[in-house]
Amino acid sequence: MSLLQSTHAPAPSIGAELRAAGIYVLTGTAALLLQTTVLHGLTGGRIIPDLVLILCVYLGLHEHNLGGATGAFLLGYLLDSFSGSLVGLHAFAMTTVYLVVYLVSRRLWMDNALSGVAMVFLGSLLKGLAIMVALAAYLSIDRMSFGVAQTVFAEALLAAALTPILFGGLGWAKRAAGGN
Amino acid sequence: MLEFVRRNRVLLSSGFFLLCSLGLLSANARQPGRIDPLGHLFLEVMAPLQRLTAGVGGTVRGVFDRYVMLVGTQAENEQLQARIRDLERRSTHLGEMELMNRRLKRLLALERELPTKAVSAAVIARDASVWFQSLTLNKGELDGIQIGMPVLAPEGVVGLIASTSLHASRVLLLTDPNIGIDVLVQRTRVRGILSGLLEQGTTLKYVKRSDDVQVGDRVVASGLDGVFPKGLPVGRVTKVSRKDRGLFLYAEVQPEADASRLEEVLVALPNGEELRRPAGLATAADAGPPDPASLGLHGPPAPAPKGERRPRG
Repeated sequence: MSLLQSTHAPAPSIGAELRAAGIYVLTGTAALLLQTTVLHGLTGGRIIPDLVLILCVYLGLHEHNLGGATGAFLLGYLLDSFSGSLVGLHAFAMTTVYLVVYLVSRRLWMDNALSGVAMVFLGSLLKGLAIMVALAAYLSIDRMSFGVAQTVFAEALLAAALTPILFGGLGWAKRAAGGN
Repeated sequence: MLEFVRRNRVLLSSGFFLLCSLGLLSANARQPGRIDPLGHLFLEVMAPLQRLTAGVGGTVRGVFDRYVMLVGTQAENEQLQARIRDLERRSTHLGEMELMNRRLKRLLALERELPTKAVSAAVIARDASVWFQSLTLNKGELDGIQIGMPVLAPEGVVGLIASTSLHASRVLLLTDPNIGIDVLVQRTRVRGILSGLLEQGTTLKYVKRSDDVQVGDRVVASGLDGVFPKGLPVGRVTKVSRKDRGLFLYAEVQPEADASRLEEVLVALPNGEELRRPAGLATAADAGPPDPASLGLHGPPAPAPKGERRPRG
């Protein structure tokens, strides 16, 4: 049985695409607001659920168009505006995650919840790796201990655990708005 | 050709955005915030929403803590429970006011000790990722805050202003790997550069292996960087290692100011020759005095009029 995904899906209308874009903008804004305020209070700031990354993986799985790539880049840029000092770091990581998820989803069926959870988990690890590589390349980070790897792993687990809720909410919102 | 572009549009656009990201990274690696076309806009748009979200989040948490947990109590106790709740609410409120009063008094005491004017600001949001530590303040360019200004708390140095918008600004903390502060070990006057680690601590760089640095030593600002006033507490040495080869020892420093607990900070404004104004920035002399009322708190009293030297102590 072939694992190749069919590419013969009907093209959505412009109205549906605009409604979907609106949903992504609202979700991205809400995700960032939660990450910078409420979730800090709940988790003490040690590990913050990366809701923006979950949205980026969703884009990689469902938006195979120019808008998806642009969205991933802008989500990363938005994170850069509220995290650290190196503009472009999260934009690089998020675009990388989007691209890899897109390439994987083109070759494998990704229509069930479990595969979404797995992709978010792997995407989160990939984002951590991309950030570490970029930091090592652009900043002279002397040491990167085991603690960093632990944090990346814990963050990936937390993101994977929250994936069904966010994916479910996004799917519902798109159906309610008349998207596919 | 068009068919090739259409078929590979995701790959091509992703590649383009990856190149854009790397371009931004390269441009900003040497001088953070130099090329950031959308950051100002994002900060200005998101700051009010962050303030609102933090406020709503706090209210919801308060309602949940105080009321939802009490559902199911016996009806005959309801009147007493209501009274207890009211008293608890007042007590909590008074406790909060007392704590806030203490914090603001300490902030005011620090402000009086500073050789420059300062703007008080409240923390309205924190960093969006676990990789870095930064804060968003509720004051911006309209209050005289500019990029590069030092941010202080009663416990010690907090960090530097990294970006600003009209009504908000972002603080890069000492723990960011992109920051470097000229410091002294207070006991032995050994000089070094304090730089952030990724794991919420800092490291003391360029200290010779033979220099006397011990665990527990206090680290203070040297004042030689022209940004932080000399003698301000920065942190304490928590680890010293001379095992690695090389000219320098390895020392970790825990910042005195715990950024995760900060609620109000001071931003020191440039004043005459005391502080170096970052190149290309407009003067901040016209900035208003600290405005604790706009913190939404009972803040410190209004400072001395513009141009008049502040009383010390």
